[in-house]
Amino acid sequence: MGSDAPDSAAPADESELDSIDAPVYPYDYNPSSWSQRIPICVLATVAAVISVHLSLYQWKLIETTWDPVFGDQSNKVLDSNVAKDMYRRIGIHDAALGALAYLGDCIFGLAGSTRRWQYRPWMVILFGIDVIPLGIVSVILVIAQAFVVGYWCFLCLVTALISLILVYWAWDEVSVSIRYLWRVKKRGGWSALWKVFWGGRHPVGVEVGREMVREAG
Amino acid sequence: MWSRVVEVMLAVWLAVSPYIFPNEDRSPSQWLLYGLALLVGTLAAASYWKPLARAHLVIFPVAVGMYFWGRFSSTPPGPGYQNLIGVGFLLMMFSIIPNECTRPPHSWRNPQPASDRAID
Repeated sequence: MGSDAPDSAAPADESELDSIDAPVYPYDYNPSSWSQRIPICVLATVAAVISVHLSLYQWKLIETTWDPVFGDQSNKVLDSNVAKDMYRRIGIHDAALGALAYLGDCIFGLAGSTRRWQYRPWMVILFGIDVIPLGIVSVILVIAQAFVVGYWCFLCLVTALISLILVYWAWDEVSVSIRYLWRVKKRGGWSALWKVFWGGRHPVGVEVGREMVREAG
Repeated sequence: MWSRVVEVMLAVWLAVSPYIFPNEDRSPSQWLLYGLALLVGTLAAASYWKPLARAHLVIFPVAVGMYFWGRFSSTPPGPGYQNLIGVGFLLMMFSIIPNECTRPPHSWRNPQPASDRAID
């Protein structure tokens, strides 16, 4: 990882390199800044609200779902045997599980400082696991469900699109944390990696963090 | 500490759950729910006291237990047990969020130790 980095720019003082809002390589911005994370949380909340609406139908608290494109097909998807099978396996309806997952995106998006890519990598990785693999799996499930059941659900497709946008928006921060952990592992070994992963301060972690900030400049 | 505040709110929700999901056949025992609410609320509140700052982590296994209790109590779970599963998932997520999570960890807040400069 270190070898593909550009040469260090002009030397900066330590306070700049340790700044909590500093941009970090390979980007010219800080992917952990609030301006990067708040839109993710807002969009995840929108998806959670949509999922709650779908859940209300599955709980039979409302008579129908809102679908301006496919009409009654949404209800058929939500009442399908696939959805019922998932309910039997998981214990709650799939739409409610989706709402919880989107709330998780929001919770893990809000937690952590604006330099959490270095200070709390475990949180960024957890956020990444919640957003990226789970998001991709949910998109595949929504599309597969349409082909298996034979009907389309407009709001399910909207949440699938939101999942893909969230994956795109979250990727930069997760990739920075992975690069950081990779460099720490290469220089400090497993013990340094273990310590910095859980938010501990290690000289190798300090050095790698400064180096990545310097390279962004 | 916002995650601790949410945990206390979820504990209150657990305590009032028997009144929202009153069906006794398909809902958990109200006394067990009161006990869970007391446990979760106490652990969240205890996290404000410095010697027990990590007490909130104990909520995680409790939340996992809530999921399994709700999931395997009846198939498919009734509304009361689904509530237990949902609150369990939420508590799993909130319980691992550290206190003062929007600030750097304590080790990163202190002035730079000499050991950091040694490899500069």
